[in-house]
This record gives sequence, structure tokens and C-alpha cells, in this order.
Amino acid sequence: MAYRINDLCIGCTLCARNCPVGAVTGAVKQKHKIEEKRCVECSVCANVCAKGAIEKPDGTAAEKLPKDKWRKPVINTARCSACSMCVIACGFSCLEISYPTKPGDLNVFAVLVKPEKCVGCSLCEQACPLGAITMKEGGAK
Amino acid sequence: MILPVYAKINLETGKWEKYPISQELFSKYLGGKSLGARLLTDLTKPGLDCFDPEAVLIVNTGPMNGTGAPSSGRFNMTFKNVLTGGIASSNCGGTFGMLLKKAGFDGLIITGKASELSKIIIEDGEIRIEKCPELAGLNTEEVQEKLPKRYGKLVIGPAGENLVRYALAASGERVAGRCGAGAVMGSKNLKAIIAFGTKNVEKYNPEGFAKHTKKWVDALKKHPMTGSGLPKYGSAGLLSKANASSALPTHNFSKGQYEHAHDISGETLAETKLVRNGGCVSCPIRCERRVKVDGKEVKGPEYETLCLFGSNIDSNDLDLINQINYDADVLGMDTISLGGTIAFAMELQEKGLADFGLKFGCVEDLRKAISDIAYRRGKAGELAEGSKRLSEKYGGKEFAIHSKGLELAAYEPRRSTGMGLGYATSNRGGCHLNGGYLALMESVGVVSMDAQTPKGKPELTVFFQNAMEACSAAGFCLFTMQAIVPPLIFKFGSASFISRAFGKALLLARPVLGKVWNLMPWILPVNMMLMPHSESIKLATGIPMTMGKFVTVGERGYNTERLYNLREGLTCEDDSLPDRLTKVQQDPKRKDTVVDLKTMLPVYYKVRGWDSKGVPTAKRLKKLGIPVPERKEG
Amino acid sequence: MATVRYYGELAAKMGIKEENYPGSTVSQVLSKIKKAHGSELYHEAKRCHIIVDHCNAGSEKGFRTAVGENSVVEFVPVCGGG
Repeated sequence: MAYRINDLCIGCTLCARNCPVGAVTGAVKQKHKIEEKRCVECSVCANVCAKGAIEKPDGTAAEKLPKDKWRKPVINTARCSACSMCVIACGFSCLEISYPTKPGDLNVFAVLVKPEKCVGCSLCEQACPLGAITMKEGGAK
Repeated sequence: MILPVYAKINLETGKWEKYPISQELFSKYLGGKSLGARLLTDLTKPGLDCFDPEAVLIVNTGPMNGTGAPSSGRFNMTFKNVLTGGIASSNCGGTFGMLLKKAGFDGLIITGKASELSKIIIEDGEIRIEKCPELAGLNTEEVQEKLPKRYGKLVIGPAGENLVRYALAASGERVAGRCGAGAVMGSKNLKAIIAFGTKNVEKYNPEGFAKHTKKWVDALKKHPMTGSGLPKYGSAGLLSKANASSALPTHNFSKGQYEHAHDISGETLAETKLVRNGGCVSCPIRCERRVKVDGKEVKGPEYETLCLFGSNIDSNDLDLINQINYDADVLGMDTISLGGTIAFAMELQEKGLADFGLKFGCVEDLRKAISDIAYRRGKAGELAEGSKRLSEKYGGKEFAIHSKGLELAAYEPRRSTGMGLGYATSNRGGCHLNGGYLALMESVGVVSMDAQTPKGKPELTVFFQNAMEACSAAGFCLFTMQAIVPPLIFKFGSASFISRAFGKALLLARPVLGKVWNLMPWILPVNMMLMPHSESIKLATGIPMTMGKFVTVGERGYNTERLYNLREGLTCEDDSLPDRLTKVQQDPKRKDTVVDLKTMLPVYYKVRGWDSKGVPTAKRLKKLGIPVPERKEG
Repeated sequence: MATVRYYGELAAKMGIKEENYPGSTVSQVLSKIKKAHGSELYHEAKRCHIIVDHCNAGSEKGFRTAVGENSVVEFVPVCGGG
């Protein structure tokens, strides 16, 4: 199952640029298409589409979500083992493993270094084997 | 049960098809090197050259890759060994394995030879082959920069293209170094394999698995070895200990101690060069050293590289070791075989048997020589053949430090004789990990075990060879095995009564242990946190795995590899070490500082259930459920 | 006087890499360490891999292993690798 794009699409490329897995293809001003095999149903395309051209897997129309309502990863640094599963999962290199504060410091963990690039797809949350990442509206406060 | 999906790719025709793995095969061999050995045996005809177009290259994962279980990012390459002619399995912690799995495949079976330099692209369950002449000659770093960013990559450098016998395949900065995987890819005109997909690795019991993973990560973090020793100093931490125990190969394995060992030790590396730690994907241990070379942060050297490009060639230049480690990675050569071959060439030169322009202690021109080897040019170009072939041409077999043709890793076996037995019997040749790695207990570890006695070593070697084989087959890092030493031992220290009693008991229990292995899997029909691997496999795949069955998977794999070696013409004569290690005492005052293979080998064969010539008996094979090969006449 | 060497984290905590102590067994050397560096570091040294003249004290006589006048006693903390 995957998200789909209907005829309301004007080819603005916003969904293609924000898709964390590169599942959307299409030229400018032409109707875009979502590659079913690649889609991870994260609904990021729907969140950015101003035209309401994105349909959910169940066929209902999805609505745009204002940027300040997007969910961002909050990392439980005490639980995190710095295994980097989330770093690899992220499509926009938003996450990195922190630098040691002093030589020999082993207490490092994943950090959201580019929150402005995060699209809130929650792939990192799904990738974390320890449940150390929770997606929260607006991110860590 | 979730069955693996393999793909068979023919580079000559450019076609591919799915290759089903039956439930029986999966439960018996899991994946990785064990399943690889089974498939290689079944899919190739005997006597095929390692570079023959029909030769098979298997790149596969284990059931744990990509699940997020601790240190489960390791994938495997199986092929005919370029150095030994027997089985080769090479293990790598790069992201390729996980992304191959996310792209929908658990393994690739690659045959044929492409007409032009090519790359295999795997995306979302589809595979295609494209020509890539523009990538020719690029080093492993450059070629990965040219390939799409988020893909898992497996590439070769110039050494692979030039068929250097110990060329490696690289995934990111991690490498499948040993046995010549890069040369096999090069012989197939295969420069790169890249994979991308978004499919999450399915788990049989996701909730149970998540719970178990948390528990296991906590245990690893708390364990003195995986939680503190390895992260602090990496494998390089072993160097001081090896030197103190006279087990640090020096001057081409002629001594066990190096006067400047401190300069190249893990402590010095950590104090003066270490920028931070790194790690393979999904690993909470993170033992990788990150160092700066020419102002750029790169992967630092492991213990083996420090020794083989340090003490073993009489050099204490740590900066140079970091540089060479980087050079070898980007040119695409295994630092163990490369270092071993260079030390051998230096000794040939010292003894006046050959002239490669290489001298012990003179490292000014070493970087140029290494580059010459990768391109097979100049005087040093011949070193690309490895020490066994050099010794056949120039002599010096008694000090050509290899077993079966594969150069030994950096543990002096005369100070850990069980490791010597491991090197000699290891299926892929002189490898410490495939050999059971008893050195960790004998000379560089915490358990106080008599390093010199041949007694009890065969039994332990068999157990660790099997357990580590199973660990690899599943896709786990072998370092997770180090956490099976009970933490209690560490509390009292290695000189304590408890540790000494534990070490003694392991050796004294030999009559029992020797028999016990034959009773697997029935003796350990349980899962315990002592060895959490089996429970983790059970939760992830649905295979009713127990500790006993897990170790049996390893034994099955080990025997399958052995049968492949025998089929390809290796014999018990090849279970050997050079005379320097078996006949010359390391310490002239101590008679027991040699590897007493003559005493250990017969016991080893017996414990394994092999005959006196080292051939697995039909009885044992039937018990393990391995097809019994037809006996050759005579 | 036997030469005593510390490695890894122990050396960092001791603030010294090498020193000399009298003593005819590992235990005696350890008790000198306790006096000089306190009981915490003593316990840490005790937990180490102890090597006397290139032989593992654990596979000799443990803490009762003999230490000679010119012996080298080395304390290497736990590490792993492969």
C-alpha cells in the first residue's frame, strides 16, 4: 500500500523534494507519481501539498499540515547507544552522533543537528532499536 | 518463519532471477558464511579457478542484519579463496548489508564475467547491471563519492582491478579485507554493487525482540570488555598486553616483544591521535578509532594493522601506520596480508634471497612500495602475489608466515599455542577469527589460562570455532562473543583464584568437553543471557533456536567449509604453520614456546569427529545433516 | 626493586606509568601500591591482567607469583579486540 497523487497535482515538486525516501518522481508542472514499492507511508507528501492532491492508502484525501505542527524526533540520550541506525535512516542527514566533550568521553548519542531540514517522517523513530526516539509536535522544547 | 530471498545474477548475460532458500536450508545454515559455504559448494563444479568466469561470488547477510539487534551490521562475502584455493569468507561492517536487505534481498549469488567494467544496482526488489567505464581506476573513496549518496555500496579500488591477491572490497570505510574479495570482483569486471530500499526488516516477534534487544544492549554496555575496554582503546588496546605477554609479532614473527611497543600502543593512539570513536551500523560497542590523516578524519588502525605495520616491520612510526592504514583502504588491500607479505619480503631481503627494495625499520619508501603493489608495478609489484607464492619462488618457506596461503594475523602463536592450532586448522587460512581466537584467553585476555600447554586447547578451539562461525552466520559481530566471559571474573581480576580456577577448569574439563560437543544441540536446549544470540535469532526469525542448536549451526558451517577445502584439493598437510612457529623456540630457555601441532592436531580431528587425515566422517556429517560427498577412489 | 608498569586507564588514574617497589611476590607489590595510591586504585590494579617478566601471573601462582629483584611487573586493564 502506498500514498497516491491525483489529478489535482500541479507539478510544484514540493512533495518530491520533501519525500524522505525519494519515492516521488515527476517533472516540473507535470503530474507527479509515487513509486509504490518505495513509499513508506510517512505522509510527508500530504503534509506539504497545498493542493490536496495526495490520497492516503485507503483512498481518502489527506490534508496539509502547517510546518509548526510537524513532529520532530526527541532523543532520550540516556537510552541512546549511538548505534547510528537513525542516522542512516534519515533522508536529509538531520541526525548525527554527538562529538565527545573531552578526549576519552564515551557518552555520545544521536542529536538532531539540522532541525530545519527535518520533515517529520519518523523513519528515525522506526529505525531505533531501543525506542530512544519519540516524535513530538514541534520537537524538543 | 521469515525466509530469506536471494538473487542469482549473471554478469555475462545481464540477467537475474530470484533464488529461493528453503526453510530447511535456512534453519540449518542461517546465512552469512555458513549458508555461503553450502551454496558455493552446490553451485560450483570442483577445481574451478578463483578467477574463472564461472566462479561464484556470494554476497550475503545473516538473518539479523538490519534488525537493529546489537552489532548486527555485518555482512559476508563467500567465494573461492584467491590466496589459498580453499573457501573464503570475508566479513564487513559497512552499511551495504543492511541496505541490501532493505532493498529486498538477503543475498546475491553472482556469476559470469561482465564484458566491460560494470556495476550492479539494486533498488526496491529490482536488479540491473550498468556499464561504468568512468569509474575505472578510482580508489575506494573516490568511487563511493561518485555513486548515489544514500545507497549502500560495495566497491573495489585499483588493487581489486589489478587482481592483487589480497585486494579488498569496501563499504563506506569498513572493508571485507581478507582472502581477496576485491580481486574476485575485479576478475568479474565488477567495480561496484549498490543497493537502496525502504523495506523494513520484518521480525517474527517484534515486541519480544525489542525487549530482548534492550536487555542485551544494557548487558553489553555493562560488560567490562564491550562496555569499556573496547570503546576506550579499540582493538588497539590489546597491543600493550600482547607485548607484555611476549605475544606481539616482531621482526616477521621472530620475536614476541618490541622495545618501542609503547609508541604504537592503543594508549598512545588514544592519547595522541584519537579524534573520536566510530562504529558499524547498529553497534552499541563502537570500537572504531577515528584519526586524522592529512587533516581529514578517517578510520584509524586496528590492533592487527598497528602490529603488522609497526613491530612486525620494526617501525614505531604511528603517523605512518595511520597513513598506511588509510592508503591500503583506498587502494583496496587487506592490511593483514599486505603487512605480512611486506615483512616476509623484508626478511627475504635481509637474508639476501631477493631484492624488493624493502628493509626492516626503513619505512621512508614504504608508501610508494604499497602503491606499487596495488598497481603491480616496479620491484615491489610482485608482492601482490602474497607470501606463499613469493616463498615458492624465492625460498624462505620456513619464515613465510602464512597458513594455507593466507597470512597470519597479529598474534604470536608460540605464546598462545591454542591460537596456533586455530591458525593451522582455520578453513580460510591463517585467520585468528575463523581459527577460534583462543589468543584472547591465552595471552591477551582476562581468563588466566596456561598459554603454552597443548592440553585442552583442541577442545576449546573446536567450541570457539563453532560458536564464532554461528555468530558470523547470523550477521552478528564477533565482538559480541567477548561478552560471554562472565563479568564476575573481571571483578576479581585475572590473577585471582576464581579466574585461575576458571581457566584451569576449562583445560581440565577436556575429556568432558571433547565428548560434549558431540551431544550438541541436546545439551543446551535453552536460551540464556550468557549467550543472547540464540534467543535473538529465535525472536527475529521464528526458527526455534537454542544455544545448543546455535553452536551446531556453526559446527555445520565449519564442516561444510572443510568439505569444500578438501574437494578443492587441500589436505591435512595444509593444516600447518611455518617451521619458525612449530620448530624454533621463541624463548631459547623455554622448550614449550613452540606450537606443538603434532600433539594438538590428532586430538582436534578426533574431537571434531574427523578421521586421522582430517576428513569429516560420514557418521558425523549425517548427524549434522550435511550431505556426505562421494568418496574419491584411492 | 622490581619495576612496576601501568597501562591504559590505570596509568591515567595513577598519573604515573612506571615506578619501583620492593617485594618478593605480586601480593607484596600490590600492598605497596595500596600504601602509595590508596585502596581504590589498589583494587583496580588487582583486577588487571598482571604480567610478571612476560608471563601471566594468573597462569603461574596468581597473587603468590614470585617477583625478583630485577623483575618487571605489568598491570594491564581489561580490553578486548580481534
